[in-house]
Amino acid sequence: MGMNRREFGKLGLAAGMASVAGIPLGLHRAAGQTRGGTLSTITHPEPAMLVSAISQLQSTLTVGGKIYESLLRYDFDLKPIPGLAQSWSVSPDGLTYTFKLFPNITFHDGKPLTADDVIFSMTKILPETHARARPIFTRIESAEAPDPLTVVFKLKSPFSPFLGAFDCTTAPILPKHIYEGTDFKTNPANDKAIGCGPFKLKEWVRGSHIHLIKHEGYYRAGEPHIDEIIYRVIPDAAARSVALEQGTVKLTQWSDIEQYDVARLTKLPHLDMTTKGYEYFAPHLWLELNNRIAPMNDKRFRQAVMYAIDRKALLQRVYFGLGKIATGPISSKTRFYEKNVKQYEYSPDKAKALLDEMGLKPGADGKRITVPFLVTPSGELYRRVAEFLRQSLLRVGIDIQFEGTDVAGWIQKVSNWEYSMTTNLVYQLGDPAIGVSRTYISSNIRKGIMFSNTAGYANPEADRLFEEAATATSDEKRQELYSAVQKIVVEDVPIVWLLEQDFPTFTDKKLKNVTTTAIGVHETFGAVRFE
Amino acid sequence: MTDEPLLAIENLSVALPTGGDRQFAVENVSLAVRRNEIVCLVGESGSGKSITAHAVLRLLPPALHVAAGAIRFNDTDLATANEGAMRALRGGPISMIFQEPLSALNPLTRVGQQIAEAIVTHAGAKLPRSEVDAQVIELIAAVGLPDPPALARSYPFQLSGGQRQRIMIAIAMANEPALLLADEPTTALDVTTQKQIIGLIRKLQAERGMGVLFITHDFGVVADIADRVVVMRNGCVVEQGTVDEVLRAPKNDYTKALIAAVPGGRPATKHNHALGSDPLVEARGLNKVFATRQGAFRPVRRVSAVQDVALTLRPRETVAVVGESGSGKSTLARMIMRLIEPDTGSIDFDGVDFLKLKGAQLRAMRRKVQIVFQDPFAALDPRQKVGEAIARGPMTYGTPPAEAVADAKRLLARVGLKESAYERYPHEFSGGQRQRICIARAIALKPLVLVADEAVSALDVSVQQHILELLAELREEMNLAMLFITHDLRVASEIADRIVVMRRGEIVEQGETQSVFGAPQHAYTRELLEAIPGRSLFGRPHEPSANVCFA
Amino acid sequence: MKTLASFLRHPAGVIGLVILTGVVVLAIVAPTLFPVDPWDMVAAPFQPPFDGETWLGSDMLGRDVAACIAYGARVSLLIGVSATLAALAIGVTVGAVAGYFGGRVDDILMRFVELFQTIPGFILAILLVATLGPSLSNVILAIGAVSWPQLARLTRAEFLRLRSREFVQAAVCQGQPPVSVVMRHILPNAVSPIIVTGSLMIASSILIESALSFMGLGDPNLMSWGFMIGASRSVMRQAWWMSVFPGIAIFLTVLAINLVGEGLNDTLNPRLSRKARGA
Repeated sequence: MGMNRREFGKLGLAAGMASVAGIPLGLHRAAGQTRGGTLSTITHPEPAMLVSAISQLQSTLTVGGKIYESLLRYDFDLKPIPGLAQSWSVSPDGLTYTFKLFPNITFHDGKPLTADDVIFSMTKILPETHARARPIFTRIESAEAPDPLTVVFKLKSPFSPFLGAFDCTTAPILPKHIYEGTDFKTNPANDKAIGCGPFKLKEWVRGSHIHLIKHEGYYRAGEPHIDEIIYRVIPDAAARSVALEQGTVKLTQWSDIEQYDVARLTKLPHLDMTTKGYEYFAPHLWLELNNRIAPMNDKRFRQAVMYAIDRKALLQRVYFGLGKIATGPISSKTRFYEKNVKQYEYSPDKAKALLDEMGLKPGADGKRITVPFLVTPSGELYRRVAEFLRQSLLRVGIDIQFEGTDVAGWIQKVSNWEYSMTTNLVYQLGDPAIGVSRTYISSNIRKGIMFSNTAGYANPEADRLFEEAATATSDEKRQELYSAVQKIVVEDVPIVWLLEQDFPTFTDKKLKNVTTTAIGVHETFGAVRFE
Repeated sequence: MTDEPLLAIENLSVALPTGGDRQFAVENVSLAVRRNEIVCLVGESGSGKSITAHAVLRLLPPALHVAAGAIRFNDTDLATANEGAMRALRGGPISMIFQEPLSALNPLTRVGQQIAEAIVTHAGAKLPRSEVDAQVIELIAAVGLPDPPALARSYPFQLSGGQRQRIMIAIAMANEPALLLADEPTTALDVTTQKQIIGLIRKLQAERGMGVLFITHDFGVVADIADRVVVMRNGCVVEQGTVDEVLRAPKNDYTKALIAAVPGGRPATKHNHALGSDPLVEARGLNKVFATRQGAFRPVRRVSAVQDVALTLRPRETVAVVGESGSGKSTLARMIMRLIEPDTGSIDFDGVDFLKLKGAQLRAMRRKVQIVFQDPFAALDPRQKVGEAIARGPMTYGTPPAEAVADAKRLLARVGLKESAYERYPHEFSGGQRQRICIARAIALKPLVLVADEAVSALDVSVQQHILELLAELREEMNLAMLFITHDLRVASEIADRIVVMRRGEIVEQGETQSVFGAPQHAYTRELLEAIPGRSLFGRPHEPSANVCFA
Repeated sequence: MKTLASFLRHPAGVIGLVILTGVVVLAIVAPTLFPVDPWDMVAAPFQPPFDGETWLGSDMLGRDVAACIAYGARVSLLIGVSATLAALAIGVTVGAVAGYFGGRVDDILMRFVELFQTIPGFILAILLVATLGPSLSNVILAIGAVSWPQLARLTRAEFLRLRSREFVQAAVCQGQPPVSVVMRHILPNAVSPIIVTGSLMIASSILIESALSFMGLGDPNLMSWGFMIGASRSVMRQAWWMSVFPGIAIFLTVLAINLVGEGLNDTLNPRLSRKARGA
């Protein structure tokens, strides 16, 4: 733990470090202090770069969220709240969006942030560099800046989810004066990561840590509260647990802590745990079936699979209760969820009946059919899920043969439809029009593109309903359309939905205001403070 | 010579581990070595002569131990002395030299340093370095090596076998020993080198008044070096006395038989049939250079093993190729067998150019020329029944198996073994018996030519005699021509019609046996003849020796 | 028979043989002892060993560790033996050809062997399995591919040594064709050190397989000891039994094979190296 000692020496009386070194807290700081301190946390895996407009790797978004900010934030119900924009309005025809910026926003290099930077980022940079922002911001017909603090976007057609796309992971704002006229992806300034967020990059020692310090010119008075954030690179799961347990780090997020350790660490008196703050992403775990090939092209087979899996046991045994059984394409944590859909309870008998009906009779060894299963190469958890599914399906006579591959091979096989079964975890991204319909609409069957409709599901009625729901302007209308489509899709079971996976965010009890919005740990952390 | 013995071995018995075929390796042996006297301990393999010598310095293999008797040296009983006392004796008052000097020297240390270590070990560190160095130079000079300072800086691999043995003797002499134990010190050496080493040991012994216990199997060497002789057999002393008593008038039958078996002392074997006139094998212009790769970027080291050799062998003729190690005689034999391919030359064999044959033709021709190797232990496949080894050859050429087996059994009987030997494995036989099996294997193919490559050199003299007799008989029975490769001129004189003398890859002289031995033309041939041990007693080959006379 | 008797006088070898026999028996009776699929989740997760329904506890999915070890023995032995056979087939052939024919053939083959030997074996195995895909046959192939050079060198050395032996030359002089010389005389005399090395290679093959499985490169459809340890690595703090028992299984099996190999070495080799000359 050489790092501890070094930090301790460097930071002197830093409040957060006192307990790290095992020294009674009261000795070094007055009780109730609310300013200053160092937040030590983990980045896993280590990001390749910090510019979240250019790379959307999970860990880039987490660290980049402190450096880059966007116009809006979203509460746990995904309702917009002020970010860089202190107010906004939407025209009744749903085509014109007007944002008013806070005054005195500056970039880390001291230059002011104006409406021009916002427009440049939304119309020039993100459509080129940000895969999930591209389809949203290419809907902008024109963007204007009547004054330096006002941005007006005009859309080509109404698109309700537009207002849900201004969080700091989807629409980070970059300085126009640095990026204009350059190749965004190779701009040398990417190494300096200049944004307008409450923290700026001080030092990045690859393989060791990323050191962020307070941006003195931050536009929100009194923020940020803490002086610095250190993201430590700890590749080993057990070491991450120990670091949290011993207080070396004060915060962990996403998969930093493995499922089986969650219960134990939750009981520790110095830690708080929440699974909130992931609502915007609402990760949906599913078993993807290639609907093009037999027997998965038969709805009865897909339903049989649905019945054959004891998802409650999966949740308890593999995920240690961290999540909820998924009932359909839309997560209950996101908007426009419909719970009154066909229910697939655990019932091997129903599964067998469906398979019998299909003519898949069990052989002498009890096996009806053998199906290859591409094991998702994203760590042990997926391996355990695969083993669980294999045993579940074997009980109804479906024999799964595992195929191994690496990440690149998996992406290639799934995106080119060269698979039969695999598992995947897909984000819902705040609005079904952005994160859900992509998996089911036939217009998104695009070979070679990951996270498109790789299962090959095509139902004209579902296509129509998804399209109408995306362009409807009232939430009531949208709910109606989405409820209808959910009933259809759940009956068809193009995908075997397994779980709405929860991720635990652990914080030291003295660390406050970490999870305040639907993007949780991705948030800017200006309000985070030690008490 | 004083009458007081320097070393007195009294009723010594060395026990073998239980379960062996005999109880003692050495049983109830008594002998004495006086100051200024060379006692030869002579016997065949397994006679216990080496064990006796090793018992003196208590260098017995771990399984053996002295069971009874005493070994008195300077009022000490070495059989019971403690290990510290033994260490003080070894290399000090009692020194020993061995058969194989290369394995007795440390290959990574300069020989001067090795001699110096022997001095310092016993003199202690108090001796000044310059004094030690001076003694080393003196010792190297004393063992007759040229340029002692340069030689002291040599490593063992840079020296010849004779030079190494001289270094071993220098080490043994380092601490002015009273008693020298020499265990077959000349057996691994060429005959001319052997003569020099024997001379050296005699000279040093005389100069220093040492007692020497000299172990050998060769009565020729005994005749040249011994004052007194002790003959051992099966662990027991059968006869001892002065060299004249034992060699000229042996009393014991075994001693008599051994002396009679010394080759060269008997008349040459006779042919029953006339030799053929047209050559059966005619080799011309044979050359062989061995190239050794010394690494990827270093020049290839070339050694010319045989240079421009021509050789003729007539039907039923026996030609002996004699020479010292490195003379190329074995390479020549293997080229005629086509076990080694000559670089140039031709071998006209029974009207066919043997060197041009390939594949099946070559294999068809091979049966006409067969070989018996030197080492009967290495020449038989340990995992093949001996009968099968014999029968396999004819079967390869299409003899029906039943017939080949019957022939093999008959041949086993012919070479003096039981037919039941067919089912047994080589390790169940003695060296002489194995050599008989090898001969049976060779003649099973009814060859025209038999090559005997040092075929009797590894055998005890009595066995050697029997094998030579067997070969001579078979030669007559089967009309064999023989190419007899040997380093032992006495053996050559007994069996050969013609002698070919080789030296450093070249033939220096050849001719009828009588004329080569009777009137050698080349200086090297004369040198070889001079070096034959025991000439004083046994005479030159083909000179009936008047000295040996017993009924 | 003599070999067996002399092997039985080798105490370490006998201990190894007893343990190894135990492992083999375990592998054979696994389906009788544990009639259910080892992958089946038969118990509650993380049951500690020695109490409750499972002997050696259960893993994070509630699988029976004891059943997994029994079935894992089948995989380990199967892979150890087959990979060694694969290595023997390649290594002995290459070594025999190089050693018997010598010269240019030998040069070319040995450069090829050296090429393989300069690549770290385990890395090559990882590379092969990662490229070809983790399946039983590919794992066997990969282990065989990294193991054979050692056997090729050994066989070549034995052949070089034996080729110049006089009994081999005598066979050549008897007119026996090369195949007969090799099969009747050279190979039988070279077979002891090859058997010894081969037996030790089974142990190293099992270790490589375990290491590959540990890294997630084993056949995902097979329950193997390496996989068990790999899977338990992250829950070491909660469930020591998940890694300790398969670890003991690997340790005992490899130890047993090494002891047997040593025993074989002591039993088989003196016959071959017996010096020809007496005193």
